[in-house]
Formats: sequence, C-alpha cells, structure tokens
Amino acid sequence: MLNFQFKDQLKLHNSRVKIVSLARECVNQRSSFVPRPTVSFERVFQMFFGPLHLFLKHADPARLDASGVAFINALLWLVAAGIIGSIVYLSALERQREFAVFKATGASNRSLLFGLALQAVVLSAAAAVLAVGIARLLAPGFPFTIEIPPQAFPRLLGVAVLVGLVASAAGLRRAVGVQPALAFGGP
Amino acid sequence: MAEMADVDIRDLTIEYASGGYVVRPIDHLDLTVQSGELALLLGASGSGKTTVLSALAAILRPASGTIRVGDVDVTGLHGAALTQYRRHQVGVVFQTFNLVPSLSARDNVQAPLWAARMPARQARTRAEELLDRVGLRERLGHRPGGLSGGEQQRVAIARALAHDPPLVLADEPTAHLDYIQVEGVLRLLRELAEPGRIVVVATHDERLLPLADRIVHLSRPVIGESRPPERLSYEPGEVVFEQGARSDLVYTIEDGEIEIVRQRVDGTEELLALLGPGRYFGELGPLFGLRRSATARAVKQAAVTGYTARDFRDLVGSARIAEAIRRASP
Repeated sequence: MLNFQFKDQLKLHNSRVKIVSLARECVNQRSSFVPRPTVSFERVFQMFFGPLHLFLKHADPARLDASGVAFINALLWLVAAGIIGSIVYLSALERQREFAVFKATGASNRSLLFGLALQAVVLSAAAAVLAVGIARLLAPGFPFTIEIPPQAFPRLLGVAVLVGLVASAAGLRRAVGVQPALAFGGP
Repeated sequence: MAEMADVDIRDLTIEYASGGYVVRPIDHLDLTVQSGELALLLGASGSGKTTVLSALAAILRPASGTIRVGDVDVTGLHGAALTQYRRHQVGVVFQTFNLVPSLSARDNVQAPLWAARMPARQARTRAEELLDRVGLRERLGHRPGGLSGGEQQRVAIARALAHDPPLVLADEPTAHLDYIQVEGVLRLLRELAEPGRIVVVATHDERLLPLADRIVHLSRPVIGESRPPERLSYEPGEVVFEQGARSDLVYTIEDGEIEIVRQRVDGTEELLALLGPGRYFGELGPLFGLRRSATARAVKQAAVTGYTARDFRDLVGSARIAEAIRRASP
C-alpha cells in the first residue's frame, strides 16, 4: 500500500513537470508573436471572437495587407446594413396601424419618413459610437497592434449614418404605402 | 373653429373592391347635419357606417356624390388642402382607440400638434388642457397600457380635439367599454356637440338613440313588412335589381328567363345562374336585410312576381326557409 502511494506521487510529480514545461513553451511561443501579452483581455477576446481570432492569429500579418482588411471591412458593413434594414423594416411593419392613424389625422408623408429615417440614423450612429468604445477596450488584447488614425472616427460615423439610411429604404417605402383607411376598423 | 360648419352629404355612393367584386356599402345617401348637432349613424356591421365616417374624414373617396363640411367640398380635396382638412377640420375617435402604446397620454395628445409644428411648450400646455377637460389630469404621464378602456377612449377623444376641429367623428365609441365607462364617454360626446361643432357617431348600439339630435338608419330591417305581391314584366336586357342596391322583394319567375350576374372590379361580369319559370331569386337580401350581392337581368321577355320577405316566408313555409337559404341563387 505504501509502495503504491509512493508510485502514484511520483507519477503525479512527473506529470506536473510536464504541464509546467508545456505552459512555459506556450508562453514563450506566444511572447514571440504578441508584443505585449495581456492575458485577461485575450481570454475575453478569444471567448467572443474565437474563430476570427484564430484567423487573425494564423494569418501572416505581413500578408494581411490593406486589400484583405478592406474585404473584411466591406463584409462587416454589409452585415450591419442588413441588421439595421431589418430592424427598421420590422418596426415599420409593426407600426402600420400607427402610421395609418397619423396619416388619417393629417400627418404628412414627409414627417413619417423623417421619424423612421431618424430612427435608422440614431441606431447606426449609436452602433458606431459603441464600436469605437469596444475597439478601444479590446485593442490591448488583439494579437497584433492596429493603429487607427483619429480621422477614422468621424468618417466611421458618416458612413454609419449613410449605411443606416440606405438600409432603411425598404421600411420607408412600407410606411409611405400605408392606407390611412387602415386606422378605422376593428382590432 | 369655423363658424356654422354644416355637414351636407348629397347623393353619396361609395364603392370599393372586395375579393375581386364591387361592393357598394353606401348607395345614394343624403344627410344634412347642422352645427351643434349630434348625428347617429345606426346600422348593423357591414352596413357602411364606418365607410361614411371615412368619407367624412376624407380618407375614402366616394364613387359619386358630394360632401360639404362648412364651405369645404371634401370630395374635391387634394394634396396640401387634404392634409390641412384632415388636420384642422376633422377629429376622429377610432373604434380601437389607436393610441401609440409607447407614448404617454400627454404625448399621444401632443402628436397631432407636433405634426402641425406647434411649438413644444405650447403643445404641452394644450395637451394638458385637453386631458383636463376629459377628466384625466391625474393620468397625464401614464401609457395606454396603464389606462382602462374608458380612459384610453377619453385620451383618444382628447387627441381628436387637439386642433379644435368643427367636425368630430366617433366610430363605435362604446364597443370596448363597460357600462360605467360608457357613461363618461357618452356625456363627453354629448357635451362636444355645442354650437360651432358637429359630432357624428357611428354605432350598431340602439341604446345610444336618446343621445342623438339626428338619426340615420343605414340598414333598416325589412322582414316585418307585408304588402300585396307585385306582378312585373321585363323586356330582354332590362334589370330587375342591381348589385349593391337595397333589397326589398323576393322574386319568382312566372315566364321567361332571368340571369344572375356579379360585377367584377375589372368591369366584367360573372354569370352565377340562369333561371327559368318556377324558380325564385333574390331571397337572401330581403331575408337578412343585406344589399343585393348580384344583378338580376331579363334575358328573354320575362314576367316575375315580387313578394316581401315576410310573404315569401309564408309562401314557402318557415320550415323550408332553411332549405331555401341553403340552395339559394343570389
């Protein structure tokens, strides 16, 4: 029995040594890749953006040139436009009766459009501001340093508003087409 | 408020498309309401009450006839003049209240004022005045979800009054209320009909009759009438009754041939039945007080006899009426 215990302890010790050396190796490898490793942010980042992180990690920073970044950029804008467009469209769909009432009581098409467009603009502008905040927060944990020129932020806001407006076109069309007679009639 | 704004409806006919067919809920309606009066449009569902209200609110354009409110020819309005009319001349209280759920009572009343670009402070004061008038001073900040049906209805009335319109329309104002709430709303509507303003209420509720200065029956039941059968003859192509017309008689064919056709929206006709001697037609309209759902026209020289619904029921026997309804030709 004593024999057994000793053997087990030895095993345990050996495996511990192995784990520690493995971890050291990992840290060494990583430190050669990441200039300033701050572990907690990276963990969070990995949790949320695992696949993207992997892609970025294995991509050769030298080969990930401007055109590659632009491609990802365009894709993300497309997704954003889709989301904003569907939110505004659904909102217009849900509020058809409301629009009908407004029209029946003498609200012009223009004022309804203005309201919906404002919703889209506020939505996309708020998203842009939030994005800037998150980018600042996550930057330290990013596998390689990215420099964002200060003039990019106002440009981002401008593009966001534009994308929001274009994306909400379908919802706007829906609102204009509402018949005021819809306001009458039962539930 | 415009002074002495009488409502004058002349020879009003309204048609719309439904299921591909032409429906004519209002057929040659005449109505005059004087300033300070409360008019009641009374009728069963589908009798065209709401249709008349929509036309008065310049939301539905009639097929023919004229509507005058004061010195405005409502049927001729377009563009900015139409918006101005809807905004300032008419206030509508909708059947289901139609308040904006995300806005407080005060903001709901302010919405039409904002649309007319009234300064925010002024709009706020006006909304509070109106809500005070309908007895909701304590509930200004509540959203519709936190208000009872009667309170929501009163907010809707306050909103209709936002621009102090000379014409107020109410569609089934008591439909979703209990009797305690109904009292408050009725008192309010009656109060509104003061000199300089007209209130038009559409309802199927005959209990509101004492409220009115003027009553328009849009679907009067015809079943009770009895008069001697009429023998009529028609030349080929002559119309016995027209789709959308008020139903009076049930016909049996003595001689000749009658075709029953239904008018489609695109102007074409759909042949529903071709009937010979011994058959009867047009029984559902008079029996149920509905309008004619199709046109009956003589194909050959035809002789028919017209019975009132009551006489027709006596003729075939009430036991066979159910059978007759089941196999009815329109």
